[in-house]
Amino acid sequence: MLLDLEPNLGVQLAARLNGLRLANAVLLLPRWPYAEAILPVERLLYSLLSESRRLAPEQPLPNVAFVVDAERGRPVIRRSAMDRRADNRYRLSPADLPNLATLRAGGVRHVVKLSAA
Amino acid sequence: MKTIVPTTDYAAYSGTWDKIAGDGLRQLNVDTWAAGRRYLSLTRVCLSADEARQLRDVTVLFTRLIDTAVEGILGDADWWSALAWPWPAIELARQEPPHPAGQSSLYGRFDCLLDASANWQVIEYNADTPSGGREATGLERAIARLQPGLRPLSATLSSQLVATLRRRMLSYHRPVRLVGVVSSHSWLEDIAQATWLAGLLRRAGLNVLVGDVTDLATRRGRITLRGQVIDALYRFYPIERLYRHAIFASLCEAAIEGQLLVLNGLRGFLAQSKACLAWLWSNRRGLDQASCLGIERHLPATVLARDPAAADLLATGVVKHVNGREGDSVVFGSTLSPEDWETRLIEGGYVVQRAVSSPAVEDVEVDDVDGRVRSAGPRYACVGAFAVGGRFGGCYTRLDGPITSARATYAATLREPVSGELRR
Repeated sequence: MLLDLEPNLGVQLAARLNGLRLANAVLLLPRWPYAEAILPVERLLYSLLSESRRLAPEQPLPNVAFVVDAERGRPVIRRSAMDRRADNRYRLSPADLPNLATLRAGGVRHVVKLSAA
Repeated sequence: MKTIVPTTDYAAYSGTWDKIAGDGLRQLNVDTWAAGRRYLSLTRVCLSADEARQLRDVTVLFTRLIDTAVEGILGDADWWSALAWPWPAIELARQEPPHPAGQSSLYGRFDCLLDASANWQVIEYNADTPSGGREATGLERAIARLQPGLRPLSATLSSQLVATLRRRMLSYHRPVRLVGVVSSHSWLEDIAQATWLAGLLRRAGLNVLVGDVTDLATRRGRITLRGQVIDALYRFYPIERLYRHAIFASLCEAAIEGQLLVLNGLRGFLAQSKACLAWLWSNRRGLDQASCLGIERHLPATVLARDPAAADLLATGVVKHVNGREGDSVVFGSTLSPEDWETRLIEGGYVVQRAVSSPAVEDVEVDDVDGRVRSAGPRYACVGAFAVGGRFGGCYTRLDGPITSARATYAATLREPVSGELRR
């Protein structure tokens, strides 16, 4: 399962699936933390810390839930040169996720993508 | 040189690995796992005292030689096409204010292989921008503690780097009030390096701001980062990508007009071109005797692909693009078809370098699914020697197959003590 959602929602959903022993949670959230940034991190950090308590003990699970950040490329219209925020938006590359051959070798036969769009 | 393979007991290996990786986080080693595998290896690369000493000497010698090559190429239009650069970039490099004493780069890394005669062979120079500083300062020390008989080689890397950059800033003609360090947030490794360097400089009392390359702008002829005017800039972002951004011209203009101190500029990028190694080989007999001997002893024959000598070297050589990174264009000449060789000749920008036969060493492979650690080999140790302000600064070693690629593992480099140290 690919959860391409607002990251707090993605983290909570993945943690819930893991707590129910349905899926391993794999987070791809390289949102670099700053005090002032285009993509804030405070709520995400809170979600990560609080949801980590829901996780099931490490064990083989039948599925995997990849969480990616739907806001990673959020457009910023007419950004001022005086903007003090760090531009911590980012792109993911094909190497950031396992390719189809790797997924198939791992026994994955179906991929479900959830996105807000 | 030898490698010391740690335990192959999975639980013991994994427990120690977790602790070392955790320690490494203090120096921003956030990527000890990479692409689903353990990039950090607990294998130790152990150099003899003589090997370590020779590596220091080679680093100092080649720092000076690379500076000579950069000046030689910039002053000789016949060599410009060998760089595979757009012409404006060459002209901008010629106009860029050099660092004091003609240093082309303040911080770089020579990648070396030890040959069968126990001589280090310089196969590449990485100055734009050298990776491995976080590993050398954050992981090597922790691994050295597991091997009390051996000495770390990078203990002073961070202090040397800070001192070198600070010295450069103090010699600038205007005060440096704010240093910008930029990278791209799309590359975890590079933004981690930027944050690491900024942390080192901040701890030394400098004002430093980290941002994305897209956070750079101009205001009344000055360069700003995140809305604040910066006086100096260090970049963990490849120059061939920066060239595509509108800010590139403004950065060059500000540097040339003395409004911005660029700590790693176009001359550093030129320094890492394999064309510099070809220039040194081709011009060695015109240099002083010590330099010529040093080149013949420590630089594998390297010639431009268009050089008549290239065809003879091809069967025993390695073909590389002058601006290649992470082994992406490296191929053994013996495996290259005539058509592929011809394609490279037409494209231009390639060198042929005599292949170095380095002794094979062992590493480990960790299978986390089955819970096993296996001995893996043969591997080859590409030992990176940091050059900081013209001095040796430490090591960053990767273990991989015959060509070092993005699949390599990092292994700490330690040295055997000399006799006087044993008693301490």
